[in-house]
Amino acid sequence: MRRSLRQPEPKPDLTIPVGIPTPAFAGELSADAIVKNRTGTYGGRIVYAILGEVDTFNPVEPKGATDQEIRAIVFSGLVGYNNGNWQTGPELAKSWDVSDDNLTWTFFLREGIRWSDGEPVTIDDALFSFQAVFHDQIATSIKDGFKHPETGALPQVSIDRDRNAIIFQLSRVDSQFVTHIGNVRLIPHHKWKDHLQDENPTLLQQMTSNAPPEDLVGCGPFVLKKYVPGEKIVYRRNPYYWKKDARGQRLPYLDEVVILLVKDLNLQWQKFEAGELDIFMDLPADHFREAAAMEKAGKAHLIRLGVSLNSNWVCFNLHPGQDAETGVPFVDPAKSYWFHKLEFRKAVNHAIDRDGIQRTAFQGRATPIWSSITPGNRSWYHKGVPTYPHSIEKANEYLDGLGWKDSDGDGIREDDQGRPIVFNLNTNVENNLRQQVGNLIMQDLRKVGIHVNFKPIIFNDLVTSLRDSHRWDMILLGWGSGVPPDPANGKNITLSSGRLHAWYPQQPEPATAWESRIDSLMTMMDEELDDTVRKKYYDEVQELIGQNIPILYLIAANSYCTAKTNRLGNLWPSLLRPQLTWNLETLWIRD
Amino acid sequence: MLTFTLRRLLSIPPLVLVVSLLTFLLLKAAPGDFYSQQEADPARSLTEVLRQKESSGLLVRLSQTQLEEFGDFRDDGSTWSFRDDGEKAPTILRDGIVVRGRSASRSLLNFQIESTKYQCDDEGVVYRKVGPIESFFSWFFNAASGDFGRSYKFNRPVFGIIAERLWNTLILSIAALLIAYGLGIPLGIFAAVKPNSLVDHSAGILAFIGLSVPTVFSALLAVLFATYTGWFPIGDMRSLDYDLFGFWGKLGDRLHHLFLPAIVLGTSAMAGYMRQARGNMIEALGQDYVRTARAKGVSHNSVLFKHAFRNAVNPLVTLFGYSLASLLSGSLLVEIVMNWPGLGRLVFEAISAKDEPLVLASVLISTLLLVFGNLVADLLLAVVDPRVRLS
Repeated sequence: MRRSLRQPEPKPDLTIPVGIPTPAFAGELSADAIVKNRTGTYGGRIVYAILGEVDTFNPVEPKGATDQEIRAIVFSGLVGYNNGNWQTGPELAKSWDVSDDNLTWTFFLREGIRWSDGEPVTIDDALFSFQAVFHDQIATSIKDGFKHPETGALPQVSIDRDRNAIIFQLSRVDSQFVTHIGNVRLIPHHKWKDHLQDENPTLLQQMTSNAPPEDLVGCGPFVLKKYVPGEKIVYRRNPYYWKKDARGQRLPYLDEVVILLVKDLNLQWQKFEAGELDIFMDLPADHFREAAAMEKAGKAHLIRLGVSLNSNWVCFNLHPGQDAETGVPFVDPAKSYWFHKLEFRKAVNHAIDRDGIQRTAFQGRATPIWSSITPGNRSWYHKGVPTYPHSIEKANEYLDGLGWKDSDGDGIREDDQGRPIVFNLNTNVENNLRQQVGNLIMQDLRKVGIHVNFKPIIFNDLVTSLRDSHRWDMILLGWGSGVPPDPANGKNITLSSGRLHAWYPQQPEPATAWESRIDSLMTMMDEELDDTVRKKYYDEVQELIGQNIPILYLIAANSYCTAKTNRLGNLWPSLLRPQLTWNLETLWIRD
Repeated sequence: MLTFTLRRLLSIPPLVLVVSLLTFLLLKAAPGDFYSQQEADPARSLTEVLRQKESSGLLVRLSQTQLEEFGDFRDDGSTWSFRDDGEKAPTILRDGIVVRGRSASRSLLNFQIESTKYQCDDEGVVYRKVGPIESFFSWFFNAASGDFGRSYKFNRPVFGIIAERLWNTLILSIAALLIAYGLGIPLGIFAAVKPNSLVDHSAGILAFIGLSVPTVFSALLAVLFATYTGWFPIGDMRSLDYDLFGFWGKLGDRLHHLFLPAIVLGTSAMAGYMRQARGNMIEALGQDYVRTARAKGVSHNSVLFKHAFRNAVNPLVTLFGYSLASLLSGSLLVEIVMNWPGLGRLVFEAISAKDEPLVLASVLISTLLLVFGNLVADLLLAVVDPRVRLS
């Protein structure tokens, strides 16, 4: 099993030329400027492509993953996350304090920072940005993290002009508070103050995809130069950016960042192969060979990032409820009886050949997993999770032990009441890889006398049946991972009340003792600031899920990127998205 | 002719109503909505997803007075009621006992009173789910007053978004149409004049290839061709540095990018026109009036173009009406494969994401184009063919 591959941090090289930034910087560099231990040469541009389309440039409610990535280019927060060393650090906030009861947080704003339009960044801007996110009538997912889990109360925000600080008064201890602060990107008060009305605020209708570029005033390393729908986004250097390098030169080095909007993955690959793009992130499995060939030819470098943080799993429907109108149980009583037997779930877990899936569907470029935390997650991976290695004998033993034998010789076992063990397995039809995995599972289970009908269906159907109709037997799906990859982000999955607690979502009361224990462990994790203690709690959560296996974690793919590393300086690849472009502020072009 | 035109124009409003209603119901009949993807995202809470649905008009928030008016109702084996205690969220009573905060909403997520569906979020806010008919008519009356709504995805008025892409698609479609007609009709005529000749057979083979090879496939081949030869750009509508070029540079760049997609799209349509033109022409050439014209000594070219062609062209004019309608939607696959920033791509994504206002607006435009295309075709027919009288 391979842990995630740590990529080395780029080192400064004082011998390289400085170059001339065009256009030049403006305004005085703040005495509070962050110093990055890098060097580089000014000029040039980086070109890469993304598959999505810009929904909105508004950082208050970034709708999709694309929006979250592009907002980080223009807007900065009080704190930031370093994908390279997986650590949170100061950005616009110089430092922060927390009171002894861990309830009052004070963030001190840097002095002398300017917006990209030249106006000074004040503590009022910080207050305004948080007021926007906390506004009762502004629907934004950024707000979620700040809410008290029971009452929904938001922190009290105030400012202290003398200390240039913004102060948050919490109603409970929250270990993830700094991360949530980092999710809020500052927007200028002077620009948008008229759009945060008490009733029907119009803020979310600003900074949309047709906003004039000069409207997008931020503190990020770049500002929008031009956006052409369906074609490209062009950013140029923010002349007022407030970071400097090891030689005291102002950042960023790049004159321009160009993001092409490409709809088709194959075309994106063709463009990379033809040299039109500098980097290619999230390399799909079917282009791996071509990428390796390009590396051999010396055209690009294949970057091995290690095991992805995204997990693939199967899960049984353990919902005990029934349709309110018709009184029909969600799950057929016979199936429910099988699924609730721990021995049955263990048998299935032993019967699935994860190595076979790895070899066949993933062509060896994946790693079997036993928990939602994959070996790629170096902070939270737990070695002590129970495993159920592939063994047809063990699976048969468990099933025989239940007295479920194939009495009529048709290759399908019957349970102790003579009902043949036949049920459905669904996955989303859009994902080819998952369809292959589903077929392999179907074959594996057939070997131990369990008959699975594999039916891929469209994603929306799958979500609807998970969430509303609860009419499914077994599903195959995956979880993605957020940044930072902290398990607290997965509360919607782990908590028994969670909407995505797949096997039995939104339980009125925890259905089992172990789920109740998981609930309290997750609360303890929220209220504990020490990550080593939090890790112990979450290890126990992982063990509990591993022992009771309501959800069977299967496999995580390996993650690859490819890039013209000879052309790009200061590249620091990370397993966390966006893998190569999270540090655009220090990237530079060598030629 | 005026009354004919007027009658056609008058038939548009009911047609639009029916088409948009059907589109709407089809969109609603498929499972999930625009927010399904967000609901499957562990990083988002139900409360915020429901707020967004409210701002899109899919849900209506109920005031506390409205909730009190429910009185007692049954759900999942318990009796529930709401009480307004002057706080932000209503007090929820289960079998007469106050239940607080999340534990209340957790037991009462979805409920139904007399076939109206309600949903409760984590903070005790209750929404009514807007039914398809109700939401259609609210859309329709807004649309009638000129407000076609905002796209869920872009949070902008729909026509602004469509206008950004419309022009790109028109350029591609018109170029393809020019190729299809400009090559198809002369080739068809040529093949008809000399049936069973080498030209006819090769044109026939070309047509069958054009008809049978799917556009996706030829578009992929074109991209491969561009990659391997380097003669043409790999997809896109213009170069990255387009803005730096002068006028002629811009024009050249546009044409350079337009060439492959227009050829791909044009040749597949060309085959149909060519076969049609050939068939019509052969039929016309076999008519008595052609023999008469030849017998009285009219020159060969004059027979072809003054007598036969004018009669053979009628069905092509009708086809032209339809091709107007497909101007906006016909290039979808090419747009996706060759990264053309057109309307087809936008609408395709809107349909798969269930961005209802955007889909409805584009369906509306396509419907209007079809109606006008047919009208134009009929009027043209009356112009070219004196036998056709419109009344």
